[in-house]
Amino acid sequence: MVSEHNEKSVFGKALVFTMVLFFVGISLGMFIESHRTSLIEKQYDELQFEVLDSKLRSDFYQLIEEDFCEIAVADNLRFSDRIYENGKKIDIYGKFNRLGNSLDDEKRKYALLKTEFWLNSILLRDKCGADYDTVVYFYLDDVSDDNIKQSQNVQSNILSSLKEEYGAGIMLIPLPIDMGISVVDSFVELKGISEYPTILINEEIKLEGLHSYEDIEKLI
Amino acid sequence: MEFLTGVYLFYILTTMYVSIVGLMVYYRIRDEFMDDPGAEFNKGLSVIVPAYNEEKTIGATLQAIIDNGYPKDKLEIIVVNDGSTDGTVDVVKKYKSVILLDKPNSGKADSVNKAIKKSKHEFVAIIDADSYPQKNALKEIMKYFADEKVGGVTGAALVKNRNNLLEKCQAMEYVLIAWTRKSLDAVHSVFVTPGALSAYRKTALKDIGGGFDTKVMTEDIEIAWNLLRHKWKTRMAIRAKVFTSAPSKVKAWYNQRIRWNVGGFQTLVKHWHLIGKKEYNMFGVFVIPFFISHLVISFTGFFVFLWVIFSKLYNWFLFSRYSIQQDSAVFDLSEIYLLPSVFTYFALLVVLLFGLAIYYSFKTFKEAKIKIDFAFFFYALIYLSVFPILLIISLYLWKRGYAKW
Repeated sequence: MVSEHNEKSVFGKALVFTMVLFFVGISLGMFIESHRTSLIEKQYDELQFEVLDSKLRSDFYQLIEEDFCEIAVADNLRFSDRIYENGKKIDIYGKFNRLGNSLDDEKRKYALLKTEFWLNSILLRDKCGADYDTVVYFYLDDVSDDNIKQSQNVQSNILSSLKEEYGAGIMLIPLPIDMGISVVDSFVELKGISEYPTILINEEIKLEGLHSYEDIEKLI
Repeated sequence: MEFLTGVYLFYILTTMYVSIVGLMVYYRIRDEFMDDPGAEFNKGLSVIVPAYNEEKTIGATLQAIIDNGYPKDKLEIIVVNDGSTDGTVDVVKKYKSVILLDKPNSGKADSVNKAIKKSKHEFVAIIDADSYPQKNALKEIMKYFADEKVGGVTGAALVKNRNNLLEKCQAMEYVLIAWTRKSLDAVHSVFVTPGALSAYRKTALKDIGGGFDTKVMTEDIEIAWNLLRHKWKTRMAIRAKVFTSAPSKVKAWYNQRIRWNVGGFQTLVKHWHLIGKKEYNMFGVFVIPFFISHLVISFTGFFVFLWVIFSKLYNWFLFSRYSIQQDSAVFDLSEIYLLPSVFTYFALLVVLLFGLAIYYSFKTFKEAKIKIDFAFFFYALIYLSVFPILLIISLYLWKRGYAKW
């Protein structure tokens, strides 16, 4: 039998061993999460660089030739897809980040980028007569009410199906309204948005609450 | 970090610690895990078989005791018929060497106490009337009494009937329990001496008040606690194997588990005030805290589990309702993601630790013939999850004054 001395030491040694394994796990978890965050940050940096590059290219073409629209619209479409995909990725990564990094900063940065993209889309549609509809989807990111949470999830699914169906025909821009972004706050106030989810089509048609695929399709 | 994440991590940490303690103890003693504890100690032994309506099994039990290999001149066998209404008495009367004590029904603890008083030897073994000690089990148990500080010794109880799913699950459970109990033996913390096969020193029984507590539903837990409390050693004789009949039907199994749990609560209430007291050695600093933490973890785990399940179901209901209202897909495979997280590592680790415990326990008790089949996964995933529910029911019944032996 284990001796009296060893008897007590086994509990202490097991505790040390457990803590080591536990902290290895926590460290590994933190490493995985920070790796994901850095991936998002890297993609954000790339996108931001491309946005700036594209903007400068548009400015350049505007200066030297009249027909800059084709290039600018194509660039904008490309960003549309990438921003949308990256936004989805942040949401998924956020759900799997359990140790504190909820990717809020990244979400805010992307919300800004999406806002910039939205404004650019409006500009291009007005200047170049681009043939697409902007569908801005306002939602709450940090929501405790299960009713709102699930109606937002359903609305998000419907909009994703719509985007899949119409592709470049719509610019889908999901914007969280509770991230403290002043430009979004101003717009929410300007349009009198008080219910979530809310969809704004081409900056004119406001659809508050949950709406079906058919309802939205009729308006685009 | 979310509150639930904190709760999960706490559970993981606790599970890991308990598993690691068990495994570390096993690794320390694995070379002598099955070792012979020493020379034979074949002193006079009174074997008591309490019986209540056991006509189908008691004959085989008595035969297993008689043929066990213990010197006949040192062996006294007493059957206490606890008011049976079947043919138990007729079966017992066929065994001339067996003493029959016939009495009105008063419960197992009282029956055993009466038999202890009538028994002539210093050592008494209690064997349930549906349990079958393997060859030399009595000799193996008695070897531990060579140490004068040993007050109680239990054998390794394994399940005899392994036909249906419930029986197979219990067979695995008993193997794991026996293996864990031997590990606890190494740290002086055997806190149950099950009725299937356990033996006691009468001097120790006198010291703790005379015998079994008749007010507690699990007299085999209470007596072990009482012995530890009075600084007697309780040991596990792993070579003393006994096959016992496990409940075959859910109702019988349910009643047994409720009785075990209620008995556990009664025992805890009787001794819990000794928690943390170093003068009671491992009983105060390990057994009681271990028992209490097991209850706390089970209860809180159960409520967290309920909250998570109901919250998910409610959200799923809302999502489905809104989806149906808007004619949208209720279920979308593209919404299912599998990404590594901090829990992936811990889940693998806990599975590994649990797997090691299962591997070593199954290896230790090859005669239990446990297989990794459907029953094994059912045991790991379903059977074990029912325990917190049984605990909650037991707590409720205990508070309502449940008393059904």
